[in-house]
Amino acid sequence: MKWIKEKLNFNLLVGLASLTLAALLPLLLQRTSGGKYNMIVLTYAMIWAVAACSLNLILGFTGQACLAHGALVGIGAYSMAIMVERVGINYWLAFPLTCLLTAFIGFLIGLPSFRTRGPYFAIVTLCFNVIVYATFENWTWLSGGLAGQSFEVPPVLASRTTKYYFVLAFLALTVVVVRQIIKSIVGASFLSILSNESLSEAVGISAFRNKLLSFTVSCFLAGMAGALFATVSGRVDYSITSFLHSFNILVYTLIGGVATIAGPVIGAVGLYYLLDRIKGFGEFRYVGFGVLLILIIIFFPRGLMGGINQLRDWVKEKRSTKVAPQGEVGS
Amino acid sequence: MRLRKLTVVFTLLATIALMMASCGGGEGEGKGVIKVGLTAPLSGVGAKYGQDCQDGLSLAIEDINAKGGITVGGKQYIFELYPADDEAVPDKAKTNAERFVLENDIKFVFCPLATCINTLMDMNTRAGEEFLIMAYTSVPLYAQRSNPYMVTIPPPFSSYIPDFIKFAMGKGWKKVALLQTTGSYGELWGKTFKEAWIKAGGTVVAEAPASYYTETDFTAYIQKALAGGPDVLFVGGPSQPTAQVMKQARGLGFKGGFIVIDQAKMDEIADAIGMDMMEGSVGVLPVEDSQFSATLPFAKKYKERFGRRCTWETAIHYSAFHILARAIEKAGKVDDVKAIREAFNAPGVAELSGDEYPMAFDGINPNTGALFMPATASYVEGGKFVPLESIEWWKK
Amino acid sequence: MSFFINQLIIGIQLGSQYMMMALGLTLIFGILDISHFAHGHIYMVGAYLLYTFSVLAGINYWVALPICMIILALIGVLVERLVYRPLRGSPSINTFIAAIGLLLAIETLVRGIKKDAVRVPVPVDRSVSVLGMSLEVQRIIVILGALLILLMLQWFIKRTRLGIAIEAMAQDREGASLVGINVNRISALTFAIASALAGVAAVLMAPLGAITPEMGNPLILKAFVIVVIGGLGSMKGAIFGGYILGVIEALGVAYISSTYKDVFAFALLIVILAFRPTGLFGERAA
Repeated sequence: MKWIKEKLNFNLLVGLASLTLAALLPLLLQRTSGGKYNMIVLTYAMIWAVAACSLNLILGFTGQACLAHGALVGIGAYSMAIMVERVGINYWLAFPLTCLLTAFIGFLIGLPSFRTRGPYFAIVTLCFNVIVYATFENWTWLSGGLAGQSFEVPPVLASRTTKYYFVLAFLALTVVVVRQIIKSIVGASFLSILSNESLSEAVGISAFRNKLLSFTVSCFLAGMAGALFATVSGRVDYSITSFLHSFNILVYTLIGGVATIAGPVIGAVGLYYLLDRIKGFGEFRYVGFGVLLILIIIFFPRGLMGGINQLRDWVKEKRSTKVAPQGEVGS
Repeated sequence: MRLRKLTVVFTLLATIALMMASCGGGEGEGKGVIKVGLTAPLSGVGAKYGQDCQDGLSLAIEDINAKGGITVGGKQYIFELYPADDEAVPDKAKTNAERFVLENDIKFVFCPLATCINTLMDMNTRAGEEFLIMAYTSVPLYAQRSNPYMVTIPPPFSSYIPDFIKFAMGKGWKKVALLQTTGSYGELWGKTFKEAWIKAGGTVVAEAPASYYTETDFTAYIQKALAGGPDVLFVGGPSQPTAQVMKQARGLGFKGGFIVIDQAKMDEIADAIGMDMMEGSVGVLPVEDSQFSATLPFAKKYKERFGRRCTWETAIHYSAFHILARAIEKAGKVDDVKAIREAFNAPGVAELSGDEYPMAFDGINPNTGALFMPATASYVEGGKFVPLESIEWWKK
Repeated sequence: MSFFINQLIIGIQLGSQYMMMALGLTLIFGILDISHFAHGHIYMVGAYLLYTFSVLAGINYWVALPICMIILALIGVLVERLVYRPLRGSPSINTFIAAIGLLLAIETLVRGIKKDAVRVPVPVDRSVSVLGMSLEVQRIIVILGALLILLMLQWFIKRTRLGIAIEAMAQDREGASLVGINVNRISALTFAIASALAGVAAVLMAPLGAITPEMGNPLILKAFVIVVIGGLGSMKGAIFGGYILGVIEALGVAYISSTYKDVFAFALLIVILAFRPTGLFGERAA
């Protein structure tokens, strides 16, 4: 128990250090115009990191793979843009309303979906995504069709640097929220859902209710990612609701390391940035990316963070076996 | 097959080498470089479309550079193309444009998709980061909101509609069934056409739009359309599925005509299903049947070199690039977007002759930035494309 | 009335294609617990193989059919060996990611080699008249071909030793390995059969449409929906689900709306799963 505490503190330190680093980065990037471009890419990457964290909450800690997150981000982005532009709600009020609305829609999606599990759940949520996409594609009165829905960002958030900090702040908030949820009592029952559903049902933790709760929280965060997307991009069109985004978010989460706090952030920021940088390689870049995905999932099934944790455990084990050679039986 | 793969690999290596060379910045000969960006779908479903556009620009740049480039303010400049893949997704087009402006210091961006151009229009007027959009879309985006630094290349899609209707009504066809692609572009076309058709005294007997991008078998849609007993079918989306729809309609015994929207290329349809099945269809004139004397030699040269059919995308991008080059020359500046956009309006700049270029241009609307490119429809009769009179839509 | 019957025939033909794809998927899922999301891309490769043999090499269509089946079966075995076997025992979401990687790689590789859409001529270029509306002969070939394949598969599973072993493993994996059934061999065989099925579907369907690198995408979604509607791992479910979806789509286009055709399948699925969380014929809980 004490060891876990130490580890958490260590992680907290690393987290604070990376946050400081991320906060200082624009000071450097602002200087050159090339740096400014990198700042934009990182801003988008961090939005997807928020989405990946929200997926992690449902995938990593309840074991259910949701493939509707692309749609949820899209719904968030659209509701933000529509509330501000068409309804005329103040930006700062529209932001939380968007998150609540997305959470509510997520709740509605969750009600029928959570009667299913595993691959069934993945496919049902994917179906929802396809329906949402078809709706936005064809209901041009809602989506704005070819032009999409433009969006006036408050002047405070007009510059690239403030957008960067704005998104960074929400990413940090997301990470803290996810961490708190996992640590809290609700989190304990999340984990028990993952490890043994029937057992937790037996001790009176309703898997259905908890899954639905975690899903709703996850959707709240996905809506937030959508609101951030609308803020940064200034125009939303129906392509944002595509299920390809759901796949992307899933890939970010798994490559970074599912069920870890830092994994989705590292996965999303790292992969988004990488894919942007290798654009020059044309069509074939996706051949490499596809093969890379397969190799990573075979050799590092728990993603980058999982791999690091494995390595750390392995080193620890090595050390302890040196101290106490009789422990070799286990290996 | 092997040879083609080799050429692919070779061109890949060559592009990488070229890119590296350009990164080095060693130009020599004291010539300046004008960089031009292209954000287009270069992978995924739209890859071929993007490639066609890119080919047109590359060929134009090759020809201009071979003649020593252009002279601006007494200095010689050559062009360099920066293609970037946006996978037809607007926010990727946006980051591409950001990169063009911030990393590469590019002032001219070509973009062939309406959705992507829309996002570019949000950002090209920012102070200090202006760039000129060379918009290749038949959706008249300038009608909704004007943009001071945008030049729209092709004619608005609606300019074809009167000719299409005149042709169909001339045949005595009154009943149409709508079978075009779903999605925003198809919907816009369908709506505009439907209104015009009804206004001209026709009736719409069935509406069965299909997703041309995902559907492979259109029989259910066609049967629905045919159940209303139409004289003519309104079809169109990407060329291949359009060909599919027409073929299946014939297979189901449809004897009437087709009205084909401008997205589908009549020559590609003919390649896929043959002229027999296209009898009585009206659409955009194929490249090789163009009324301009320079088009056919251009198309032939293209085919010899790339082994593929030359599309209007290539021919029009090739021509429009020359207009851009002239405007830069005329403005006498390489980085003043405002002056260069104004130079388009100068007499003679936006006028290309069809004897020299594969597509003729007849000027520009100084306010909207829409180039005056004639729209030419053609119909199929007796196994041949018969061109209709070219439509000078800007005169109406 | 004849319009209705015609739409019904089209629906059955659509369903035949769906069924062949869904059968392969459900076999793989039932026996190996793998959500083989790249199955639609295997189908696409099959169509390109047909193009290579019948158009580029000029081999007769009916000779190309078994060749394509065999090559696809081999590709299936290769996919199982290289991608899925190393992942055996890991969470199903990991195999899903591997499948996404696989389909990305296959699709872009094919597009890199051949950018333009291609076509294969119809072997029997004729139409017959059914109740006053004409129908291409190829569609009848698809319907009958699918039935034939279905019968052959049933015979194989019920009457041959290997087939019985497959069924045994589908029902009880641990028990099967206890009685000495070689799991690796059965896995490879399952992938071979499923891929060959996709091959038949591709070869029969390809002459009816354009062949493009992305043709597998919408198909795999539909096939998955069918498998889930029918119940993961249930062959009966895949067969019924395939035909049901095909007919619903054809009639939906005719009588409801063609714009939202793709939505029918997914809406149907959500409704069914809300009432039967493991599908129509799904017996075991996932």
